[in-house]
Amino acid sequence: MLRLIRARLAMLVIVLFGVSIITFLMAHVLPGDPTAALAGPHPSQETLNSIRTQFGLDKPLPVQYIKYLSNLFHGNLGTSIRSQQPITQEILAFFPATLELVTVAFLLAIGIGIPLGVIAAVKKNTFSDYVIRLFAVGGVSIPLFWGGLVMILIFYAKLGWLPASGRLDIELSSPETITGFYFIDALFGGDKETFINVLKHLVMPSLALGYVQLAFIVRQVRSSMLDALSQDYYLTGRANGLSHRFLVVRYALRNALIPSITIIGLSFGSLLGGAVVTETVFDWPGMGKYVTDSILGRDFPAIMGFTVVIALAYVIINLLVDLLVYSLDPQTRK
Amino acid sequence: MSELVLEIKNLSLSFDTQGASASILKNVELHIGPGEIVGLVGESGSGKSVTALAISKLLPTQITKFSSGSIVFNGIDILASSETEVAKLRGKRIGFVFQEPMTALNPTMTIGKQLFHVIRRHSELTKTEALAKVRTALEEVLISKPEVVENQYPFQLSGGMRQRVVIAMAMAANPTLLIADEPTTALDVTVQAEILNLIAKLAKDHGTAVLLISHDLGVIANSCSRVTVLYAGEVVESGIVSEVLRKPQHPYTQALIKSLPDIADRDSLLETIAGEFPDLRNRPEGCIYAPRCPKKFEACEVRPMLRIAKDLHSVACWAVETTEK
Amino acid sequence: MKAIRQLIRNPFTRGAFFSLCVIAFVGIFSPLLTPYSPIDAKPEDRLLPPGHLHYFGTDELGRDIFSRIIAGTRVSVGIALFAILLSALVGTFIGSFSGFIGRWIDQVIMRSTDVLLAFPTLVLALALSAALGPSIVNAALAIAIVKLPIYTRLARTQALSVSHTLFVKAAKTFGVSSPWIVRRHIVPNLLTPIIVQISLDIGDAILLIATLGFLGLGAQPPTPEWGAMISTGWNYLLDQWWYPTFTGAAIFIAVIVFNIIGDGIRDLLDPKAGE
Ligand SMILES: Nc1ncnc2c1ncn2[C@@H]1O[C@H](COP(=O)(O)OP(=O)(O)OP(=O)(O)O)[C@@H](O)[C@H]1O
Ligand SMILES: [Mg+2]
Repeated sequence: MLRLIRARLAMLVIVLFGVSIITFLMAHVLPGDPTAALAGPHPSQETLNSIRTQFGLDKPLPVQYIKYLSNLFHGNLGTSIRSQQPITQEILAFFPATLELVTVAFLLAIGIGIPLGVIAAVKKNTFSDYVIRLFAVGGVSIPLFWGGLVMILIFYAKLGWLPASGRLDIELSSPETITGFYFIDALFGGDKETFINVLKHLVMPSLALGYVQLAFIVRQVRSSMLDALSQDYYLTGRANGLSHRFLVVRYALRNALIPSITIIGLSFGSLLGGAVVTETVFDWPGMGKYVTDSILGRDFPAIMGFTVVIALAYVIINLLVDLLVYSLDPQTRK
Repeated sequence: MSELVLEIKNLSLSFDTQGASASILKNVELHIGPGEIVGLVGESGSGKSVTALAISKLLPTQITKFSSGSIVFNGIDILASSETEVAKLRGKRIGFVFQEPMTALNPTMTIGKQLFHVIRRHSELTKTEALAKVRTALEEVLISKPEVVENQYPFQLSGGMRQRVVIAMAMAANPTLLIADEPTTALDVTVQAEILNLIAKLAKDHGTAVLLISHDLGVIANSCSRVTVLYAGEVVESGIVSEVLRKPQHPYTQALIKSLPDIADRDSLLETIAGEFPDLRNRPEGCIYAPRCPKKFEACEVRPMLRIAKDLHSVACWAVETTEK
Repeated sequence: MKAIRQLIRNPFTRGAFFSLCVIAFVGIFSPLLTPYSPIDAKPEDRLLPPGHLHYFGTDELGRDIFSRIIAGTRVSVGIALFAILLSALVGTFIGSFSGFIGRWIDQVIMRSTDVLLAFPTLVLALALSAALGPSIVNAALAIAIVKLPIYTRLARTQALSVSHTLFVKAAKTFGVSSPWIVRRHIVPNLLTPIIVQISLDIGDAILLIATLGFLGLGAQPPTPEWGAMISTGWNYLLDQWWYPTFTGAAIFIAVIVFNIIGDGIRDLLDPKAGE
């Protein structure tokens, strides 16, 4: 176990190093010149030069990179062009909202996706299987923003059941921060109205975002379940008269989960990416909304700061997934 | 003879997949008395496993079509019974041992747990009693350190050890019939004899009837009282082991026995008998073995029935003198 | 041909296949099929609801949305195809050389793919197209780069297995040049898995293009690109619902068709990976 963690950590360092090079190149070398954005329209050569000096852009690239890396190392993602605030702080402020959205979407996705995948596999080539598969193909094919749009039109505009934007009605004050997850904080806060309002705000964004992930999970679980169901040990279990339910859960699903978890972990990236779109659509005040606002404001450092943070989060999640798989598979555990 | 444990009569079945249909078994006859060990031999693809799985109704339901015959186990008509009824027999009254011990056990559950669940399923034992039973079941298959093995995962055991565990599971509920489908084929030669002796001993101790499937006549000769020879899904010969092996009547059995020294190597079998294995999607009208048979004559255009030659020794061949059935 | 007949056998893929033909037809002949100009503004017709003159209504400049969706087929699907083919071509090239040459070059290339895979697809595409500057060509480039590691690894794996086979070893001993070996022996073996991967990726690429367009990073007005159209249409969501809704439906249909076909081709050419 320790050996694995150490190997993976070494790998992680290499990858993060590479990540820093890529974001550095994107920020400093590619044609979208950040100085142009800073200087405004039709700048004089002098303004450009002074900005260059101010941000150290006149130095040779390797020097700039070392500076960039050491800043990253100290958790300094630079200064936002729009707000002139440290990006790290801004992102940290938006982080809990995104985490809440992504977590709820993910829980919905596994809570619904795994059972659906199991059912589709057990009832292979029946009507239920076809319906579930169609539902799943729909999930990987639907543009997230359009799914959100249709939901807003139906549940907000037409029926008026659910709010279409934000985490909370503006009249209500946000619950006292304990975890940063509004629905948990509101629960502890004990104000029923706030709690229900928070939940209502969560429904559409998390469903829209969760659907995509759910579709991945259904497809993956179905295919590894089919594989497990055709294995010898499953037949042995049947020949020994074990109950169907027990066989499906403890024999097939338990083994199918090992390859599934890896894929589910990888598809977590689609959740993080999807959060950008979902937050834009539902005006959810998280990092995703922050980055689309930065795109509109041509706020380069902010976009790259976000990219680094997301890459870091994704790499860490994949590390955790590896460890989880490791602990589930007796073959690697010893 | 008292009532039969298993009686398969005139069993025919085919596998129907999109458009194509393959006739896998044709008019198969087989019976086993209480406590008797009966062998089923035939080369690869002859339908031995399909016969075995049919007894427990473990064949893939979507594609399997039974076209004639019956399987009666202890007076229960298996083919007429529902899945739930048959499921009650599995593991409890019919035990199963498969060919591949390497893959026959759940890789993510300890040996002890797998046995435990099978035991709990078929008995009223309490948890502690069942745990104790796991121990004794492992001891009974001559596993020397059951307390260690029960906490291990399948991948930590050798093939022979795993096969013992599979046998322990199959025998856990003390079944009336044990079906062992090539239980030693995948094992080292040295281990093979141990496993066969173990099965024979357990069967004797518990009075269990055994259907022992093998493509190895040597195995059959040592363990069984009677033997049935299967060729391309048809029974070509059956009788007392000593009779069949010493005085084989059917040309196919004769060829099998002639190739005996090579028989351990299953691939060589097809080569030693000239001609090709028949296409099951297009089962010939006449004798199934005729295309490869050295004694073929006009009568072989018609399918021969299984007829008694003498002393319960039956043969499906026109070239053999028989008394009427 | 045989593959197409196989695809048509399954009712699932049959429907998708015919829809694909329709999409291809619309994409190729879009200039002939649009009832109105997809580009020219007609202020007196702005924001009309769907009707028999304008099936899907008109947008804020009075342009027929139906015509713009049709014209957009060529843009969105065409750009997605271009991005994926570019990625497959470059990735196959890099990957097969990496696997074939080995040593430190292989190491460097493999670690680079690891790094690219450390970003969620959409986030990397977004950052890249922001860095390159918003335009549809840059969006296509960004998608090609994002998809690059998949093809590189696929090609490398195949190249490794092929280069261990006898005939390639023999060719090496006889001093045949590397490019020749790669072209003659490695590329043909690669074709099947690469085609499967391409067919699985096209739908995703259409989605990515549309998403970048929606976020303002892809096509710029007045190009009739689906994602960008929705981005503008968003402002009219509540009062002129038809504007973004029909356009989104077009994306959804195109992507689902490509995905079903992709799955079908995967099951056909590579049955092990499917079920
Ligand atoms: N699941 C299946 N689907 C389709 N055909 C099958 C299936 N299982 C077995 N068959 C076919 O049934 C025939 C009999 O197979 P069976 O497994 O019973 O042979 P066997 O005598 O047990 O051979 P072996 O010695 O290799 O185990 C073969 O032609 C085989 O191809
Ligand atoms: Mg068999």
